Amino acid sequence: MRRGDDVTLARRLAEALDGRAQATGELEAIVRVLEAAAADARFGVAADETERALAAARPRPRPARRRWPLAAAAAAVAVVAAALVLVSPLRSPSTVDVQAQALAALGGPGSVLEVVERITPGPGGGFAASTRTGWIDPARNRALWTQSTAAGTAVDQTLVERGRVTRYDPATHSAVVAASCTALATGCASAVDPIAVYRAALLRVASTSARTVTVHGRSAYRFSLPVTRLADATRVAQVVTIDARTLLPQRIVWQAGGKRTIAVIDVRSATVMGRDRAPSDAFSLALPPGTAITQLAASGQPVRLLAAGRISVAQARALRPPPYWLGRRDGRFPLGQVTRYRYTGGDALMLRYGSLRVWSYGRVVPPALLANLAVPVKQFPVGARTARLYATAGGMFAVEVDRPGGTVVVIAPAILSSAAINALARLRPLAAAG
Amino acid sequence: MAEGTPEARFRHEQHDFDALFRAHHAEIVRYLAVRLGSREEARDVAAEVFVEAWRRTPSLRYRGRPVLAWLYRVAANMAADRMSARRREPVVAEARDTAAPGDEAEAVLERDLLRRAVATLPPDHALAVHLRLVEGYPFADVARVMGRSVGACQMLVLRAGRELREALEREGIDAPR
Repeated sequence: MRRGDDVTLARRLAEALDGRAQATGELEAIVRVLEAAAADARFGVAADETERALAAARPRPRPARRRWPLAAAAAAVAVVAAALVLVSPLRSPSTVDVQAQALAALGGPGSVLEVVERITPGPGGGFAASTRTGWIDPARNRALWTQSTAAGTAVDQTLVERGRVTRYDPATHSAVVAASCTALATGCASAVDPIAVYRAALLRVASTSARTVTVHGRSAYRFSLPVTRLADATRVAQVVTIDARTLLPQRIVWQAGGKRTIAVIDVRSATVMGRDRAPSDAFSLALPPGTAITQLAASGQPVRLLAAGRISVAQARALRPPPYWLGRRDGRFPLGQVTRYRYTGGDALMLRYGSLRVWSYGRVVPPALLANLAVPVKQFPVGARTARLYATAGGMFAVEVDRPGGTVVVIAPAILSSAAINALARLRPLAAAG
Repeated sequence: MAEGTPEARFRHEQHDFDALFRAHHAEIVRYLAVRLGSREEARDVAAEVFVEAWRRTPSLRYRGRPVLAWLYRVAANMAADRMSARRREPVVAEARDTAAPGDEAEAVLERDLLRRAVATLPPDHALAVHLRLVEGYPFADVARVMGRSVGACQMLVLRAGRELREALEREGIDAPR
C-alpha cells in the first residue's frame, strides 16, 4: 500500500476512534484490536493509593518554593481540576467484579498482611500437614513465615525477599540462602505463600464468574483462577472461597493437571494493615550466631567466586541493574577502587571511599558479607524503605537497604557508624549520575 | 488537557509537585503496567519516576512540550532498564497466567496474546496507543506529549493496530472477542 493511502487510512482511523466516522473493512478490525488492547490496560488507581504514593515520593520539602499570586493559584487549581476531569473517567474499572473486590480487600501497595494458614496435602500428597504463621508484603514481594508441625514444633523459618529465599532450620542450626526458589530441593511451591500466589493471580486475571456458596452458615463466593506457573515450572490452578462480607480468602485449593488436589490451604486469619503498623521485625529473619549458612545460586549449585577485578567508573556505569554510588567524591574522600566480583549466579560491585565501602548486589549476597549480615542490631526507616544495621564480627558496622534492582550495603569502621547511616541518603544509581 | 497556555501549564506543573503527581500518577502506573506486564512492578517503577521528577523537574527548560512528556520519557527508560535487567536475571518466583480452567481458556489465551503483543510494540507506537486509547487524550494532545505532528501520531496508532492484528493472526486469531 502506498504511503498516501496509509495517511488517508490513519486519518480515517483517527475519525473512527473519535466517533466521527464509521470504520469498515480493515479499519474496523484495527479499531477492534486497539479497543481490546486498551480495555485491558484501563484499570483504576484509587485516589488513596495515589496519596500514599505521593507521600512516599516526597522525601523532603523542596527549598525556596516560589509563592504563587492568587490569580496564578486559581489558574493552577483550574489546571489540576481540568486534568482530573480528563483522568477521572478512567479511574474506575468498567466492571466491578468479585475478583476486583477481593483484590482490594487484600490492601493496596502500602498494606501488609499478617496470616495464619493451615496447609493440608491433597490425596497422596507428599508432605505433612503444617501451620504457617507470618507476614506478607505483596507490593514489595516479600514474606516471612514460621512453619510448624501439627504438634506445634517449628520446623523452619522462611524469608522471601526480592526473589531471594532464606530458610533457617532450627533442628540443624543451619540456613540456606538461595538466589531463587528453583535452587531449593523442595521446589518453589514450598517457597511461595499461597496468599501471595492468589493475589498475583488476581492481579493478572480479568473477571471470571463467581458463585455464591455457604460455608459454616456464612455466605461466601467461590471462583477459579487461571493456572499459575511458578519459577520452577510447577503449575497450580486455584479454587478460592472468600468470605462474602470481608472478601478475604477462607480456603484456597491448589490443583494440578486434571483437577487433582495437591494442597488445601485454610486461612485461619488474615489481617490487613498499613506497612507502618507492622512490627519493625515483621520481615526480618535473624539467624542465631553460629548458624551454618550455605548459599546457592539459582541453579542449586553453591555460590563461589569466579573472578574479581578492578573496573573503571565508565564500565561500572554500563552495568545493569545500575549499582549505587556516592559520586566521584564523598565529603573528603574521593572514590577509590571499584571492584567487580563475579559469582556463580550473579555479580557484585564494591566501591571504596576512604574507609567506607559501598556494595551493590542482586540475588547473590557476596559471601564475604553473608556471614556478617546474620543478625541485625537495629532497623530504621529510610524514605519508604527499611534499613538494617549490623555489627560485623570484624568490628565494622554495616547498614543494608533494598533499592530498585538490588541491595546496597555501606560498611564503615564502628567509629564511623553514623557516617555509614548518613551515606544512605546520598546513595544514587551510578547509571543516572552522569 | 487543562486550560491555559502550554507554557503556563508547564511552569505550574514544574513548581507544584503535588499537582503534577496527582494529575499524572495513575496514567504513568497504567503505562508502566503495560510495558512491564505487572501492575505491582508498575507501581514501584512509577514511584521511582516521580522521585526523579521531584529532583529534576524544577530545573527543566520549557521546549514546547508538557512536563508529562518528560514523565513518559523517564518512565519508558526505566521500564526499558527493568526489562533489560529482567532478561539478565534468573526467573523470579512469579505467578503467570498460562491457561484457564473450563470455558474461559480461549478468552484468557486471547487476552494473554494481546497483552504480550502490546508489550512488544515499539515504544513510540505503544505510547501513542496508550495516550489516545487508554488515557483518551485527543490526537492534538498526543502530538504535544510526543513532540510529533498529529498526522504522525495517527500513523503510529494505525501501525500499532496493524502490528497487533498481525500478532493475533499469527496465532490463528482473527479479531478479539
